[in-house]
Amino acid sequence: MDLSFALLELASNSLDAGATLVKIRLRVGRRACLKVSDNGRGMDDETLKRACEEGFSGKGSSGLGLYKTAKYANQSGGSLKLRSKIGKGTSAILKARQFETGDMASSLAVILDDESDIVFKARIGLKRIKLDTRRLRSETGGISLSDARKKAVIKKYVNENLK
Amino acid sequence: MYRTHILVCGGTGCHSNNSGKIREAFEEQIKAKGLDKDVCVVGTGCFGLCAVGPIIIIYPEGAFYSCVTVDDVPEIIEEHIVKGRLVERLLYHEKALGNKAVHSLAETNFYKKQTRVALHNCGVINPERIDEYIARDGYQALIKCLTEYEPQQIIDIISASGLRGRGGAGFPTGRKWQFAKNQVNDTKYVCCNADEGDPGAFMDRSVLEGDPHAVLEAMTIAGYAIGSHQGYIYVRAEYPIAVERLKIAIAQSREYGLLGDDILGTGFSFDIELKLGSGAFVCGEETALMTSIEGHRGEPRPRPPFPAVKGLFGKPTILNNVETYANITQIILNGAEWFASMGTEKSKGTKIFALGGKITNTGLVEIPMGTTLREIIEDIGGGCPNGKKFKAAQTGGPSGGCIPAEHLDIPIDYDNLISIGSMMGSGGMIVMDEDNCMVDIAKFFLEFTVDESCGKCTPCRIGNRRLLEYLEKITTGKATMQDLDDMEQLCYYIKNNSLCGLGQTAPNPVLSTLRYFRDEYEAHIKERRCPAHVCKQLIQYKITDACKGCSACSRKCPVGAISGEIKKKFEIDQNKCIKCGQCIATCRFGAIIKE
Amino acid sequence: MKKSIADIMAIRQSMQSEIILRDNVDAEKEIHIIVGMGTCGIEAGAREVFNAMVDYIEEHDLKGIRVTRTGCMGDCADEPMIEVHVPGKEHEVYKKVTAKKAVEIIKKLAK
Repeated sequence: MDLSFALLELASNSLDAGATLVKIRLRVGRRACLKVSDNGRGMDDETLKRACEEGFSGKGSSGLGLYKTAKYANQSGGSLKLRSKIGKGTSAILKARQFETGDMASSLAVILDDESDIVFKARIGLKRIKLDTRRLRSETGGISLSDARKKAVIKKYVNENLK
Repeated sequence: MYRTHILVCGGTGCHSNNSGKIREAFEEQIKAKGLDKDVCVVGTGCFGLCAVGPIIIIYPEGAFYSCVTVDDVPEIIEEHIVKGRLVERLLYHEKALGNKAVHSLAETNFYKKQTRVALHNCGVINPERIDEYIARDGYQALIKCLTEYEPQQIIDIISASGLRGRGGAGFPTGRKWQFAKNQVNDTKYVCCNADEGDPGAFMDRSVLEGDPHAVLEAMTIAGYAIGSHQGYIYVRAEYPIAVERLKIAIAQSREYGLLGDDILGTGFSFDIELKLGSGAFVCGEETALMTSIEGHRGEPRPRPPFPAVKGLFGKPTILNNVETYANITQIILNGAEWFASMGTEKSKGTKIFALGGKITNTGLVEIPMGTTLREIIEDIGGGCPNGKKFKAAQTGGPSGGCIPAEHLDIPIDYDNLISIGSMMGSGGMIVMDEDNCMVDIAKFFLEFTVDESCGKCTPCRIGNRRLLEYLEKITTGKATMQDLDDMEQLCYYIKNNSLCGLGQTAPNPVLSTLRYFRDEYEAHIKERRCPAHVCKQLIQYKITDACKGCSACSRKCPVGAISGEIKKKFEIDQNKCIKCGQCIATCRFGAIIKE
Repeated sequence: MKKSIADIMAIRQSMQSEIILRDNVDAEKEIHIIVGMGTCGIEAGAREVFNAMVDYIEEHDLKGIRVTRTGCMGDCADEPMIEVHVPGKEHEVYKKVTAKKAVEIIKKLAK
């Protein structure tokens, strides 16, 4: 379990919830912190309470994703906190003290989508990294990932900035 | 007197895991607590369960602590020695007993199923204290022989016991000694083969490190029996601890007058000299060994004449293996019938096996002949780890063959093993599971023998090298079915025409793997496929549909063999792939497989 | 310091009782006495009981009786306690044993 894995976990949940905009804030280091918030369909109080339970899933999946993420966070002296409102969206804050950064680029490559926008801001040491697909869309005249040229732009950005 | 004994295993295995430091820590801390008159700390020889070393055994309870570290010493002293409470977390937990913390050693399956004859002192006495050897009936057999028996009587006892050479060939020991005794010559020699060259074998090492006096006493008895006054122990230089313990033992024996002139006032003189080997496997062969002692390059000689008639320096010589000698004193003390009551009809007594490879309890075990392979592997050895399936067990090292699962219930003895295409060998047993490639195993042993061939005779020097080339062709997918037949023919030729045992037995691993695993050879040749996914050239790494197109693997690949587009299935270029496995390790979706 | 046969026998004899401690208790043939040596036991004098028994066995060269230790046996008020296991018989527990009583028990068993 590392930060890139956690990001993949949380952001995939956001996309599965029908989000059109996923905002990600990442700070690595001793006080690592990952915030993922979306405008998906959200969870009611009942579901929210059980979200991190082993085997519990609101979408027919294995029910292990949030459980694992929360478990490893707690083991390292950190925590995973979820807030959600039906119809508005969900936000997750992961505080993890001993997580390594991992392969951010590949996680982002997986969640990049035709239908939703990702805003990714990270502070890794003294470096500040930003990926905003809304801006990329307007710059390249609407991103369609089937367009090889535009895909190349994203791939290049991901590879270069997030080694 | 000492009411508590702390035995710290000092065999090479535990020693390399800091058991020496553990012993020192015990000594220091026991002294600091003022308990050194009551508690003795003893460094012993190899106890046998090497997989869980360093091992400490505390008597009188017989508590068996495993995987001990220096940091555990204060707790052991405080809890067990002072308070009498066993330290549960360090006790050896045997899986077979349902992970119940085993309290005494006698309760473990590992120990219960063994019959320790040659190893009876290993792990019990301090090999560097001759008095402890004497306390456990050491030198009683020698006294008996010198005072009560005539030389011929001793040979009769050994013959009646049915003891056969433990070095691998299994020649009846009594008969060998008889041949030498029958020669009329003032000068005869008693030699001990402590060269132990088989990869994976460490039985002799443990006896030499744990109970060197047993060998010295036995050689002296042999000298008296055949009429010799000089013995040589040829020990491999790669066993520094064994060499050290032998030197100490010889010195202590000489000091007590148990070696040298007029032993114990009986008028019989016998002395032993140590000769170090220089790293040649072939010097474990008897005539090459003697040639080496004589100061020449270790090369075998044609037989006849046999060493018992004309051996070292041209004199009648007996050469026996360490383990063979380790049985002698017990036979003299307990009688030939006792020894013959153990084992099978043609293979009497016990045998030490060094379990290695894919087995849970790696280490040394001594079991009566006739025990089945299944008992050794499953009951004593604890089975293959990680839930893998047993595939075969290799006995006899580079001279032996593999025993497949279908023969697991065979009672182990000299003749049975030969009948199924293997041999007892010195006792090294390498266990293989479903992840081992049998062709690769044959290649491994051939690489060893080709390297160790002395070069004197053509069939071995050139034949085995050609054999290795065939195996290399097969494991890189370049062989044909004709090659397979030619290779098999070559094996028989080498066996029939080589000068010594090294050459004659080198093709055994090939022949035995061909016999039981021909299908693997054919898969390598016909399908260019290695069923166990071992032979590098024949493995293909493939990306499956589970791929999410995240590009993580392509960025990790050291030779840039993976390419693709984001969010689409990536592909591996087989021509560039070096089969390093980085991609499999990196993929978070389990989308890459070996086939 | 060359030894004679008699010397070797003497060495063997003198080391016997010490080295025999290193054999595992043979429950079928030997009498096994277990001394409870938890903290409460030690406070009550279990160590002296243990030592007394072991010394007596050594001095009189008794064979077939082994004394080992264990931790707290439970009845802390009745310490020192010993359990005597004789092959083929039900085991017996002795409470509030003193060094003297323990030696008496051994004397009886040795017969």
